[in-house]
Amino acid sequence: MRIRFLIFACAAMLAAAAASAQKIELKYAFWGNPDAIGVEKDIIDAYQSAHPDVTVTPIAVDYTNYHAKLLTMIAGGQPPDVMRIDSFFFQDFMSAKALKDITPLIKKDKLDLSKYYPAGLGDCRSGDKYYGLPWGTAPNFMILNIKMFKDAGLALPPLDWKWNDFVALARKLAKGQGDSKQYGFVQSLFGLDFVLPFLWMEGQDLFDKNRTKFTLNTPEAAKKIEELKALVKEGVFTSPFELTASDATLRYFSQDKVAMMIGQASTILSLQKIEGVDFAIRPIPGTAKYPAVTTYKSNIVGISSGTKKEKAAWEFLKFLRGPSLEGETLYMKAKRIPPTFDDEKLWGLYADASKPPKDIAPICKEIAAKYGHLLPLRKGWMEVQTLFLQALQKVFADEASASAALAEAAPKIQAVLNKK
Amino acid sequence: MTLKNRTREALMGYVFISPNVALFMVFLAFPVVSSFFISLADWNLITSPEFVGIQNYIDLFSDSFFWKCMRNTAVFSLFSVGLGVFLSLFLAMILDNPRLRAAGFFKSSIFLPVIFSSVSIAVVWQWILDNQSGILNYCLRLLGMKSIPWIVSTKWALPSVIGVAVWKQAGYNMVIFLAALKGVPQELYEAAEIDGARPMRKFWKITWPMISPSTFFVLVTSIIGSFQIFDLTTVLTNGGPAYSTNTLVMMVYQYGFQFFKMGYASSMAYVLFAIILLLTAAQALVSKKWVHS
Repeated sequence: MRIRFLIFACAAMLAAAAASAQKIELKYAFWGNPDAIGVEKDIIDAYQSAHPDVTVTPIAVDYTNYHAKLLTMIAGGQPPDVMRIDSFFFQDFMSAKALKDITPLIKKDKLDLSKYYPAGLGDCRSGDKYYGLPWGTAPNFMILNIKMFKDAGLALPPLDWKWNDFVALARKLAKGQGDSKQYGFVQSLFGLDFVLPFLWMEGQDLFDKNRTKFTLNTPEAAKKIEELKALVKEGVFTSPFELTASDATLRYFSQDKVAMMIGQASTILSLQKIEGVDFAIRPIPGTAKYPAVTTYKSNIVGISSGTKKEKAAWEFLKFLRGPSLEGETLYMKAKRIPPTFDDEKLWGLYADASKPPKDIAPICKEIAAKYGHLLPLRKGWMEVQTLFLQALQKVFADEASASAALAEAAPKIQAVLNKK
Repeated sequence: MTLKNRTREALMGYVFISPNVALFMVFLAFPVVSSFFISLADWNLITSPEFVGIQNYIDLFSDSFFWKCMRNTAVFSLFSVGLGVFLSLFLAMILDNPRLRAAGFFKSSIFLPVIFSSVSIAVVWQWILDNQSGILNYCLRLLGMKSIPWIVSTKWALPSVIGVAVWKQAGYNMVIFLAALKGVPQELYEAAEIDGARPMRKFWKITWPMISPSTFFVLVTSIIGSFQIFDLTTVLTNGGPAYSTNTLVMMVYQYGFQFFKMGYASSMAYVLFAIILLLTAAQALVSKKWVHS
């Protein structure tokens, strides 16, 4: 009896060991609230129920520390198998060989890339090779405070509005002093994506076509920056030092202190949570010659080059971001990010008719077709951004003229670009 | 005791301290030494480090942003330590008065900011110092004064951060001074009073020398802490406006974990280490002249 029991116990243990040996464990890293991963849990649950042989372990880190944590994991030889990367860091990760070239996998499985918005695919590519699939392809919108427009007796501008229309509206919307001061627009220095549209509309750009030479040390760029500063001095735009945090900007907007601001998809989500705030979205206004100045950006989900479970990681990535739309549908139901695919059903799930802004789907499509402009991302982007924003801060703080600040920043930025 | 017993006793001693030594080696000694070697390399955490000699240090000393951060840190350190020591000593002397009612309440209230995290304090002060809706500017306007752009002007941001830092740290130093004041023998004051000494003379001739070891401790720890300022400036102003509150440790973080230039960040950390070491050594040397032993 005892021997029989021992044999049975050993057999059960062996079976359990065999089952656990077959189970594949994938580590999936993304930024978000570690205590409430929300839709990511739904996606993981859905994937695990469809693939009982796979266990996906979420690694959620708040955005501020996320990319440093990723690097630490990679340096420590414990990379996640699948990871989300902000497009600002993508080229750095790619050039450090942290990401797997998934082009052969795309070809092998004949993944239909035409379903993605082209802007999103552009941010996942280096040359003709793909190092990930897009996540959250979306423009930076110009967000308009409908109440302030109504109070000022102004109609909302059309989608093809121009810089001059924008400045005229901002001047009419800016009024008052002290506590009752209202601004036409939030001049922000949060990042280059908030500043470059104003320079693109003058035909200027950060780099040359090869993205190896800094090209903003020009009289045209300096003139535009001085123009922005003059609007701040006039009280039409807020000072970039007044609203240094996104929550402060939201507060000013919801308290009808600012009529227009540039915001991302996440800004829309935040505004929707504030009761009684009505707002509309528009493309960022350009000029007749350069109408496409609305920043378009996409993040990336890729496979770590250090993964030992390439096949399982690829299958999970396809579920998460592939054109079969399994993961994307769950994201849309959660209204977490706008669709990365040009698909009516997805837009139907994402857009909530009961909440502003109205017509988000057609406006996004219009922006994608006519007004979108990709950032000239490259390796060292964050350092270039810091150096350029340092120069702008000097201008807005009256420490230097725009031309002097640009001339001072140019060799430093060029030194970053010159690094291999 | 035989030689064998002595050896065994020594061996047991090493065994008992070995966990601490191991932790010290792994979490302190190794990172300190390895970061020096990293400071001589170009390294992005993923690819292999590339030896560049002292190039990171050469680049650092010719980097105007580094000097801006150095100036901000030095100004912060000078004023936060100076004002902090003065205020905490002043508070300790007031609260040391046995005739003061509710001294316990005041001591607790002043000490309270010490137990809160810098991040939560910075968030609260962000609201208090808000340009338009902050309570401080609201009070100023009630008094018929103009609003002050506390954290949105390049002139006011650093003084505002210094003010918050002094307020946060005052309680901790005050407790040290209170303990030191309690240790001053009363007979000295009584003898001075018999000799007709006035309060200021009693302070300079008795109190100050007698509490000088505590003052020295407060100065050393405050200076070290002030050069490491990071959380308060990061949350309260994020280094702005126009990088007027960007400190050295913030720069180390930015280059290390935003630009992934670990070599450059390590070289900055070593310069910071050298500055703190020199300042502490200088204080230790000067202390022989004014610290009562």
